[in-house]
Amino acid sequence: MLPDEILEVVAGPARYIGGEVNAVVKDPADVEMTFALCYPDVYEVGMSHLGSQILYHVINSRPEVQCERVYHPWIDAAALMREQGVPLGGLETGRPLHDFDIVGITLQYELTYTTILSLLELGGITLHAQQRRPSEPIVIGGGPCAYNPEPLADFFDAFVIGEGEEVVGEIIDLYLQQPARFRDAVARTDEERENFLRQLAQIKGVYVPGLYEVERTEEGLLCPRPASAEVPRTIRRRIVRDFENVPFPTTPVVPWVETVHDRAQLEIARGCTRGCRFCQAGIIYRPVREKSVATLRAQARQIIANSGFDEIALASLNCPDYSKIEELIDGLHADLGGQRVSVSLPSLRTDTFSVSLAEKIQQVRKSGLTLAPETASERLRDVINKNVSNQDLLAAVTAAFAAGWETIKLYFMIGLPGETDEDVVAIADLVQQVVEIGRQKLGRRRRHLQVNVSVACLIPKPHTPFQWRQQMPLEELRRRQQLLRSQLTSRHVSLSCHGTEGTMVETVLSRGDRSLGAIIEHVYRSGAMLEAWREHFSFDNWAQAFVTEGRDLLAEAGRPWHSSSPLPWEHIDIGVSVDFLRREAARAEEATATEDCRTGACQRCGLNDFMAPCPMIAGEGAATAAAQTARTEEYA
Amino acid sequence: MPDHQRPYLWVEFEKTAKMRHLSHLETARVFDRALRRAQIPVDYTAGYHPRAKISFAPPLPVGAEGRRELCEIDLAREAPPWDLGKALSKQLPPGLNLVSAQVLARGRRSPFANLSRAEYNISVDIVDASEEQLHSALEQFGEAEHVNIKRETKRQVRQIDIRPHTYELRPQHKDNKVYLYMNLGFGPENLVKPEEVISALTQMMGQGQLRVSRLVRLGMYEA
Repeated sequence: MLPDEILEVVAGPARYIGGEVNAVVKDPADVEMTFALCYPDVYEVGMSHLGSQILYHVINSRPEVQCERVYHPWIDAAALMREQGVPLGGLETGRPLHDFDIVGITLQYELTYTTILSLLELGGITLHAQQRRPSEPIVIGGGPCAYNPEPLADFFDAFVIGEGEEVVGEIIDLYLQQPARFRDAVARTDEERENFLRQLAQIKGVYVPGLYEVERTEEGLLCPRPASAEVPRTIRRRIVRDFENVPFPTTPVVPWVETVHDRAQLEIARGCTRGCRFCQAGIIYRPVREKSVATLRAQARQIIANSGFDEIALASLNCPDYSKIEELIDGLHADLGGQRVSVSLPSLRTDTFSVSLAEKIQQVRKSGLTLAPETASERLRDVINKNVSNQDLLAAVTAAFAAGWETIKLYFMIGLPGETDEDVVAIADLVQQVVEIGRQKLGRRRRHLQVNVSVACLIPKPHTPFQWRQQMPLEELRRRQQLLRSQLTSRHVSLSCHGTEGTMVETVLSRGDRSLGAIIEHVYRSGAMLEAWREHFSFDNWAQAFVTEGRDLLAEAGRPWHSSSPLPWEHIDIGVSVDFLRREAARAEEATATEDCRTGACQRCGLNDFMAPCPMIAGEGAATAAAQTARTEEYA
Repeated sequence: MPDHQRPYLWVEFEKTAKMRHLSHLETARVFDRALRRAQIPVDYTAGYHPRAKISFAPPLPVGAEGRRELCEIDLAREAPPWDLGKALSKQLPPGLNLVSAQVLARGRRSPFANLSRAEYNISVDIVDASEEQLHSALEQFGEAEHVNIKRETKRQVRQIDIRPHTYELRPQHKDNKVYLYMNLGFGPENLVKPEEVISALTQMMGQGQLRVSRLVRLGMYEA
């Protein structure tokens, strides 16, 4: 909550005022503990993040805890706040960030790291965890980037590894069990703070980096080792077993301003068994768990009644894989169609079943259709284990044009292992075939035909089979983008390529070690923030920061690591074994695909040992798999 | 029921407190969602992107308050037995406060078409000038036959005489603050924007500046 003088001069003031429908504001007399839930980007982005909405609901369902949302202000407001000394605070009560008991920050994307530092400083919190005064909040990170927390280790007191719904309650319990003297913060001593952090490290899934020392490996990487016998050697990922009954917000906060995903969200499943080798989410959210249709319909009805949204998006890594997807969509239409509420699917696979689903789903409102073939080369699809074919894609777009779509979006990746110029040109050929089909199928409406092609660069991510791989050189990625651009000449096609320089920075940050903390801070000190917005990203800042530390960014991005030596994230045990990743890396080398364990045999990824039994093996999965097989045959 | 016979809900509301920071579009979305929560049977447009048929009076600038803003909501069927105003009011956030709501039979013209006057109360800061200078500027404005200003539209810059459609302009003093009450043309032929009067007054003051600290639209009506 900003003062009027700032609100009256900044862009989009309504994002700073709070007080939205369903925002939770408690009577201070009932509150024993305060928890800030921060998203290191602007409101419109942060409010679209389902994970934060879930945690907001989980924490606020404890009557004695006030959870508030905190977002980074846009550039104009941030400058005025710094100038006038207005601290960043929560949207619920305006409490300054430095005055919270716990500050949780979600780690979604490497290019938000400098924004995290900006957010901490705007909130009046000391950047370095080791230098924080005992009274300052306990700063905890979580989310996908916490699976390699090392680059951010200097700035966080702790990280949560895995799903947050249960562990956040354990952290709150531990805090509330502390003596009043500790909770009062003002009188807290350094020793008491350290003592609390040691207790925090005993909670399963919590990593307290300050209790670990780093050792330099032969390859020069810094790998954490416990500094004493009382802290665990590995931190095991938290996984919610009872997904059916996991708390889910049916009173979502309804933003005043238009957000990036301006709709209600309904999480139908977690995890994916497809096993695409570039995809970190496909590994770190295992195993697959689904909610029942009855639960989902009840939740959807409540969400719409409580929020008034005109659209509800189904959320999961791959919605068409949900075993009763058609029954679910029919049910949601029956329940909500009368109120003109539309249902949407965010991401689709590349097959005709997906298109028929998309057709079914868009009875109320029709939007664009997005398909993700990833590459146009069948050989490279076997390298990345994306088990679809060009024929599947062409059949899917034929069905889509026949069903009336005029705009289609296609996702591709370049920079794949073993990729040749022919493979890049093949993308252009495939897109051209899509255009031809569109022109034929649309007939007189063909001037409306639009094929939007989005091309990302592969980024080797921790805990994937590509985690040991180097990035392709910057110049080479640029040349390939240029090659593709020169081949895509149709006026029906628009091409957008991800920034190659951002790709390089993401690569070094995602696979980096603790030594990157100094570099991130250096970049932040040179004025960087909101770098997830392309116009605020400066590669020169990063390159220069590496030089200042006597290092070379591009050289580090281009370094492969030996698959038998330790990596900086090896203490993070996500339940999928390194052996499985090595096997998959070897199969990628041979361009051999691996079966989906939902329909085929168990691939021994390690999860069955980790959470024994893995639900895919223990029954639920078997039933799911049968339904899936039946359906795949039906549409074959 | 054919479209032209369907009833509509005619709403007057206040836009104040925090809600003054909402843009026109944002305000419309708040209504759309409140109507759905209140389960009011709103009529929708046909086609691929059905939208609730709601129209509002011309926008207020972001940051300004409205005491009697107007909104018209088409209903899909005869007014249901419950009190629509009460149901909607319960779902609107504090700051968007219902002043009145009534279900009306569809006439042939939209009630918005006849709005030709708007009243404002504007609190102003006098920067680098005295209150006497403001008063003499007000006097000069009142006595002038023509007050020409430049109005930029998308295509051109036009010379406009705002004097004939400035129906009332007088200062008020309250708690050491200076307010300007204005009654201005609001129709397509006689439109005068309050900021145009402010800038004309600033010029007439000869020095310094007149700055709007809070703009309040008191209402719009048919003259």
